[in-house]
Amino acid sequence: MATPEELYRLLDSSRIPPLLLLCGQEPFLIQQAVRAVRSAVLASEKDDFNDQQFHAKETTADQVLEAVLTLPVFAERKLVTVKDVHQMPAAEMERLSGYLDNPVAETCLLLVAEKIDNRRKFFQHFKKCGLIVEFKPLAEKSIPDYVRRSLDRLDIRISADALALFCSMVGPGLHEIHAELDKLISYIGEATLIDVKDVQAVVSRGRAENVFALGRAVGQGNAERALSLATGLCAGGEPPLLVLSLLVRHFRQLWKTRELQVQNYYAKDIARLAGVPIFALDGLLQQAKRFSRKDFVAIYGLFLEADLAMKSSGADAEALLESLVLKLVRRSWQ
Amino acid sequence: MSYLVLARKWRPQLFEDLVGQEHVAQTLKNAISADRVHHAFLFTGARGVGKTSAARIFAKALNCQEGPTTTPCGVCPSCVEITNGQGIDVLEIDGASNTGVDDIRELRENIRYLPSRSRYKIFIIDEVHMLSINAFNALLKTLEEPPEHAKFIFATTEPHKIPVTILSRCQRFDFRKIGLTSVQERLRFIVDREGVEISDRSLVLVARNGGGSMRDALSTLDQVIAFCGEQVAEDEVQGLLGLVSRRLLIETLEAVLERNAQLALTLAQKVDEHGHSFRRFCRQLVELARALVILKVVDQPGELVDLSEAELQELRALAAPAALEDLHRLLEILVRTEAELATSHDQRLTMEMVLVRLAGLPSGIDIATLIDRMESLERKLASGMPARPSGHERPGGSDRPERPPLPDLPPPGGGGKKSEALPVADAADKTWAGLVAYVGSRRRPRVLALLEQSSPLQLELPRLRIGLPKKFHYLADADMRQAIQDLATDYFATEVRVEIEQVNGGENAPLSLHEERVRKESDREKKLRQNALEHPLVKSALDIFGGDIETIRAIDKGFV
Repeated sequence: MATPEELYRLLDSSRIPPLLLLCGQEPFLIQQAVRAVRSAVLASEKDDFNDQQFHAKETTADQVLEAVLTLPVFAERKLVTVKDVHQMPAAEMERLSGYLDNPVAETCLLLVAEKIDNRRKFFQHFKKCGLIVEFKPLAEKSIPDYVRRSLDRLDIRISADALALFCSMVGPGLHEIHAELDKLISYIGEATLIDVKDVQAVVSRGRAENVFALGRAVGQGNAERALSLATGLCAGGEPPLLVLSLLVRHFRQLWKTRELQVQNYYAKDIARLAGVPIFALDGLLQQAKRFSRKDFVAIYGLFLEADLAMKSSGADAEALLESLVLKLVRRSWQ
Repeated sequence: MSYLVLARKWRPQLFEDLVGQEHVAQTLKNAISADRVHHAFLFTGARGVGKTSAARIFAKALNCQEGPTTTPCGVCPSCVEITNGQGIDVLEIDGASNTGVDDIRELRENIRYLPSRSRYKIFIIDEVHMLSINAFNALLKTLEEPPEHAKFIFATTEPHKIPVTILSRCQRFDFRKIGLTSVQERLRFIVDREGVEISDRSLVLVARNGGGSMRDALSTLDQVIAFCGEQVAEDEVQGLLGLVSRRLLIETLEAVLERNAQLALTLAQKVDEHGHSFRRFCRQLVELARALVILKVVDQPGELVDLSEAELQELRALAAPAALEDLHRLLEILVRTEAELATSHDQRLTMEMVLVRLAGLPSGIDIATLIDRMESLERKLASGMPARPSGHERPGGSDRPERPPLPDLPPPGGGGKKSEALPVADAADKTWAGLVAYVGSRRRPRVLALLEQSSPLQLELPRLRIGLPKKFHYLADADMRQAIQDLATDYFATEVRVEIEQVNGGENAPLSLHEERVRKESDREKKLRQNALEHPLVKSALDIFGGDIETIRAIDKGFV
């Protein structure tokens, strides 16, 4: 298996491997690589004769074979792309196997897959004859660096708070990160500094962040923020019952982490036993300190009450949720 | 010309007309001027907040003959076609009726061809969340590598129904609900041009009926104009919308908060006479009570409550004298009542009884204070300290028991240092055990544990000599000594000098509290055994069956 850097080095020196397989869970990077391969193989941007694309699910091995064995038209090389190869039936794949031993020099066969099954003969065979490049998704902790570097290239600065907020709102997918960054850059227009209020204005919030923020606001006793988040969630089409269950989950985590902390567990063990990510642990523990065991029991009582009321009384569920949030906030004041 | 409803007649035609979505307008405009236009957009938000309008304006801006511009001219063929919804290069597709994969395949066939006369081929798919999974998958392939000349704009009210794979390939814009003031301003702008006379208060009613949606507000306005003509009166609007007058609602809440049951009942009768539904009445009361609670908790409610400035003032005045506790309870009871009304046989009776009950509720503060006081008493009794004499504060039995005269207690563990100290004359009653209990009540577990293990060698104020067994002596560092000294000074209410010495088990130091407890335990066991042996039943059992007594357990106090 080769790394993306090795692939790009090959492409730069225009030594294009006739058999190439790109795999990995980060579609953004793969798409980038596919484009790079295409521009390296084809002379012009658009070449309908020499650029053939297939989707593994809707195609047969015969069609692919026919394409790869046809000579390029008015060009040195041609590119045959097969996407989602992992979805191709094993029998069809076997029929492509023969081509691997004897690839046509003028053709670049580019396979794209989310993941490859190393037990399959085809892939074992491909490893020997062709080049497999793996694209790994970005680790959660390297996102801030990535965002900062992307902005540096455009000479745009971002404040530390805004960066933290941005990363907490956007998921780890690079497609999403780039879409949100583009939007942010468009929003600020001529300006060169991104601040918290810019992020708040345009970046779309994921659901998890919102509910976590609601839990955090309740935990910190910030009534204003908690209420506006609760109304925001309901206005965004979340059923109040769902918000309630997510709140319950948040408080269960608080209680669990607190109990474990009282028993002097190490942070790593607390995170593992309570089933929370390690980077979220500090925040949880800090909120949990505001509540005693008695409080937690009482809060569970409130949850139960609200749950019953929402499911049976026919009263306005949003009003019930708000009322619950207020009660929780006041608990944390005490 | 046939009548065009206001919502269509006044559909925004420029980015500047988009009310309440400035963040979207600014981003899109900047993207056009900087030539950084993404190829796929997703507009999400509640109904009637401007998604489709924004999509059309954006399409016009991109395809206008003047070149991609932030201010589409509105007169070139392209702009006119888009405004009329009949462009060849701008295809508006209703996702709700073209849900199948075949529809999307057709779209993919179509997309290959260059636009016939404009710059871009733009596909606006409304209600995109209605597409089937297969249709989405088919769309995905196009979105992955769209031709240069194609742009997609999706609009939906339910973004969570769209697959992540699609979401991640679109630039997403969240449209917000439009604030009451913005809606009201826009309505004012429109009625002025339509030549309709209507008061600001009526406009607020209309705007509020829209619930953050401009289209709903404009539909309501249409209805109001159709009903009232060019001269609109406030009570007509109220009647048309089936709203209980705001005055009546506020008066009801006032009556309840002032504990005036009679007035509340009269007002309920009025509601009935006007033919309003009690459920609707209760619903509106809930909204008002909610606003009261929020105003009490939050200084700057902002978007939390949809109220005009004048209404805010009024409600603030209403909320000011009431306690949060009471308002919250009021809200809760009303929420519950609203549900009860749905199944009630006699809605008026239910509503009246609730109003009477609300007006008769004792103030929540009194109860909370009482509970606080009881808890503090319990704590003090348990710690062996004399309860704070309440006689000073209430000489000769107060005749106004509903007033809460007691200040809140300081929280346990913090504050209230010297103020709690009692006069020096009392120091004589104070014992070693009392000191230890006091430390316990101050929640100092480390100090408490150490004191329980140590024996009081000498207690002659201001001198306090403490003996500690060897195994604990190392714990008594300077910090600990200082902590004990501080606590003892507080407890004895006089300067205390603490000395700590090491004692060995064999010496004749007085027993520590811990040792005493252990000894008491064993004393109790001995006594228990003796009692059991002397019990006639046990005696005769031993006589008859023979055997030994292995263990003795007390079953209750009366038995021993």
